[in-house]
Amino acid sequence: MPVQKQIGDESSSANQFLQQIFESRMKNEIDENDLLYILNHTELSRTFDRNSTFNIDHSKLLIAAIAHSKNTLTYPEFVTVVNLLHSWRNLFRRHDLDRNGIIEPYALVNILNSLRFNLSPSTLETVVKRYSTRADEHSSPKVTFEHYIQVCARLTLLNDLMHQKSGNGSPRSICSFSIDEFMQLALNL
Amino acid sequence: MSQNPPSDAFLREIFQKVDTDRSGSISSNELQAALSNGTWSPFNPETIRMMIGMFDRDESSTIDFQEFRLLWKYVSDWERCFKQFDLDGSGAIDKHELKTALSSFGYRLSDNFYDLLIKRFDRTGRGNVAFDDFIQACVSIQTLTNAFRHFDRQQIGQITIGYEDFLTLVFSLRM
Repeated sequence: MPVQKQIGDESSSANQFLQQIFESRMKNEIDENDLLYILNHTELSRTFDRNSTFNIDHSKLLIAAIAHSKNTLTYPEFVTVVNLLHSWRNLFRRHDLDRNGIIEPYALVNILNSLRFNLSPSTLETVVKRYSTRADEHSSPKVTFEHYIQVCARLTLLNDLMHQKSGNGSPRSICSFSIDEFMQLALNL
Repeated sequence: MSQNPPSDAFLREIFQKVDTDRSGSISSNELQAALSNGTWSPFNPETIRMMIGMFDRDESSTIDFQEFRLLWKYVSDWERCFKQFDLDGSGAIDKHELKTALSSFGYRLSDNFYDLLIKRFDRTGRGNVAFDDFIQACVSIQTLTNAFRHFDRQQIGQITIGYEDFLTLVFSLRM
């Protein structure tokens, strides 16, 4: 069997699988619509639970988080996105034992800490509150898979941005933004 | 360009036309049906939600007559603004007109920003913004500017901010 070494590739059949999916879009680099199709309508969708669907915002966020200043993904960037989604999925699954696509707000706190976003307790509280929703006025707030992916992608994007700007992105680092940069960032989130 | 405030009788008439089920207050569906964005498609539901949120003082999720008077003025002000900046009278505001509009409000923003702005708010995919999307875009810019100015009191157009504050700032934005 011919051996095709890709960077960071452990299993060549997993890589072939992803390569086939990527190549089915017939482009050198895929955009948000391609990525969305791949996530929801190909064999790759089976690697996520029944209640886990992705929307166009997820797609745009993921591309912005990994490809930085361009809005398409090369094949290696696509692989990074898939690996990231799978690691987020695994963490979610630990807290969603009945696989119904929702977790408790405190579970999100645990997950964000284990992803090493280094958020202070008050920031965590703001974030978790923002991404918790109620099914109706009688139920308590929960975090859906959709919102979960949204918050992970946004934090990844913001984290990387701070890293780029300040060199280390630790809680104690500071950086400067012009109003233009800030507005553009907000429009991309 | 000033305008005489409309009479109560005039507003009552409009209110009753909008309140199609005669419930005595206007729901978001009724408001959406009554407003036009000039494209024959439904008025942006986000904009409807936002306006109801702004003017629904008693938190009934509907607009009574008193609340309606303020809402009406708000929509009329935006209509005037829109017409003023739709320089070619096309019924939609393109990138150049948007730039002119925001520059007249004192903003100095890049071409890239305007591209992003149109991309984000243009629901028709024509590269411009209809009336409802125009309102949505301007209100979002107001929200962002206010959030930014919280850290830039002297309005120099630049902030120096720590990671935590930055995250709190970003996550407080409801766009």
